[in-house]
Amino acid sequence: MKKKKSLITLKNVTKNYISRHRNILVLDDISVEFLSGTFYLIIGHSGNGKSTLINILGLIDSKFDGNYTIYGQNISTLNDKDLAKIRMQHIGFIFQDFYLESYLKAIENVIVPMYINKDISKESRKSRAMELLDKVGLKDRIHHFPRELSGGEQQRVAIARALANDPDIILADEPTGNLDSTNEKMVFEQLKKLSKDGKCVIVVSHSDLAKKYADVVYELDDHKLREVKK
Amino acid sequence: MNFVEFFKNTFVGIFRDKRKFFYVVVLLFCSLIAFSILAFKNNFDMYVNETVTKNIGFRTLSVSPKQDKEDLGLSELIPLDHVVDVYSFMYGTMSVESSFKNENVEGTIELLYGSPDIQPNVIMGRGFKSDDSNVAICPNIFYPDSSAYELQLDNKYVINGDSLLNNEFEVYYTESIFDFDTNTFEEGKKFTKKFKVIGIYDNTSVMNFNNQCYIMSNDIKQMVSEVGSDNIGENSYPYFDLVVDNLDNIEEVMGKIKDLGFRNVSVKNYFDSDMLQTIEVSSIIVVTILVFLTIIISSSYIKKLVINDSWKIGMLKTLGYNQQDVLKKYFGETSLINFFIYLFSFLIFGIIFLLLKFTILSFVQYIGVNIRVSLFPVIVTFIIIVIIPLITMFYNIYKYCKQNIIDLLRKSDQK
Ligand SMILES: Nc1ncnc2c1ncn2[C@@H]1O[C@H](COP(=O)(O)OP(=O)(O)O)[C@@H](O)[C@H]1O
Ligand SMILES: [Mg+2]
Repeated sequence: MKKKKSLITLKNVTKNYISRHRNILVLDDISVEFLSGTFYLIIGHSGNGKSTLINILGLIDSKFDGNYTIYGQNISTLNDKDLAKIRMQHIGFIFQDFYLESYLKAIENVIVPMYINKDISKESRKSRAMELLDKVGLKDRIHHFPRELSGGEQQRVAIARALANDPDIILADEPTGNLDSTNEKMVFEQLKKLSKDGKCVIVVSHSDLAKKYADVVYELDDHKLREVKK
Repeated sequence: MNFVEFFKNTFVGIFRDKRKFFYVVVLLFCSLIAFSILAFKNNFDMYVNETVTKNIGFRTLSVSPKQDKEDLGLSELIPLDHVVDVYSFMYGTMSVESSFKNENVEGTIELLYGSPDIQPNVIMGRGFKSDDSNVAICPNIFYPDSSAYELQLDNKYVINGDSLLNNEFEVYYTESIFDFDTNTFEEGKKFTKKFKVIGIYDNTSVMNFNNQCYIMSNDIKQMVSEVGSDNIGENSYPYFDLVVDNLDNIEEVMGKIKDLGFRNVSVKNYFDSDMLQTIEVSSIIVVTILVFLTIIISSSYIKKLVINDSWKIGMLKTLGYNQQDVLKKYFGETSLINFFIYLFSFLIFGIIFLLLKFTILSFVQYIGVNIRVSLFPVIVTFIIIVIIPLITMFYNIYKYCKQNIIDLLRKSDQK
């Protein structure tokens, strides 16, 4: 087995929301490291700040105190454009709500992130998208529109899209929140496979099933993150 | 993404998204109306400016003479400011036979009163000089036949300006004597007069017929006297034709003439200024409505596209699109769609325009209306259909793509 690399390091990360002139503390002095080839699960009660944390990890929220290092780069030195480039190259994000473009077929949805990636040639986009859809078990659904797919299938299209630019970090915020247990299982299996392929998979979920797949489980409680022994 | 792909994706999008399709159809319709109204207004303005105002009849006044004055008031009229010439209406025009007569045309032409101040724009040759005589300025499409009055030209027998210029022709006319015993006219002496064509003018642009030539005032006065039609008794001056130097001075001169005590003063060729204004005002209203309609339609569409679907921008940014990429995508798409609408409606408009021009509207060319599409409707429609929506788009998309991703994504959660 390959040696696990450190991809993301948080050091003393604190997050406050300012709402109606009041400070709401959500994350308090969190330090944690995420490695490649590992399936992380983050659990915690609703409103405890799980989404806040994963948004910070995904570089879609950069207003916080403390240090965030990704691939050895401290993001406080980066501008919006650089952050976007890191998101494109290294991060795949999956949401509870799929966020698929309804006027695009499955394959076209998967191609969307590839348009801004100069490393993927025009000719290889299609075949790459087909490969990814095949990987998530949607080989016969590539020309279907999102409305013609079940929730589970839509989420798998979203997973394929998250993988479009071959990121090493997969973030998923309650990816099975809208799915039944059969589909839930399928999604977790996909994610597990990715972590076995060497990707760093970080999942926020309430699901008990998720614990079975996780290598490391963290609980977010009282603004702190602590590891839970399985 | 290269342009071909972008083009393909954008057009596929129009047919998949009902909202986009509807937008395209409605805006296409607006664009067509804009083209039509603007082209109509433009042609109308050109017609008024270039044709109507150049016809001397629009700056010629008819004035009833003062019967109690020995010279009928002529000496009061001549020195007025802006008055170019005053003459009896009988000298205004004279129909004659001419040497153009052959087996195909009658040779009938109409001679019009002219002078250095009263002549059309000459497009070939030269205009009148004050000491000219026995010279004529004739139409570039010359048709010496009385059917010219019905605008029925037989193109085979039309004489072009090039071949007419510098040629000489003769006209024939006969004295007519009123016999008081029988109350009829009798033919008297026969006359022949020679003219040289020194200039050619565009008769349609001044609303003249194709057999109307201008000659010098002294020539036409001499001819009318020889015929004797200016000498039919006391009422030999039923009214004067008074030519004003410029259309803008018509009102002023009319006022002065009325102040001098002349009655029955009117413009010879009168253009309905109320109609002019109605057309002017209503086309401005329609264009204004169109501008607002386009702004409302495109901004509500853009609102849907950008604001209600702001999660799409959020998602694109999550996937790694930077601000510039998002801007390029949305702005490019809108430019392409609106430019397509513009081009497509221009094409439809062009086809309809040409069809109309060469069928239903072909007759109007003979009365001097040269319908054409100038740059004016093309540019104004471009501004309405392409520029305004793009500005609206740019403003909105720029505002939204600066927002942070979480806010963009959350907006859709709430709806
Ligand atoms: N934009 C915001 N402004 C103010 N408070 C917020 C904002 N986003 C989240 N919060 C608050 O932060 C806390 C954590 O939210 P979140 O990270 O969404 O929790 P979780 O995902 O664990 O349910 C909640 O109390 C929530 O009300
Ligand atoms: Mg959450």
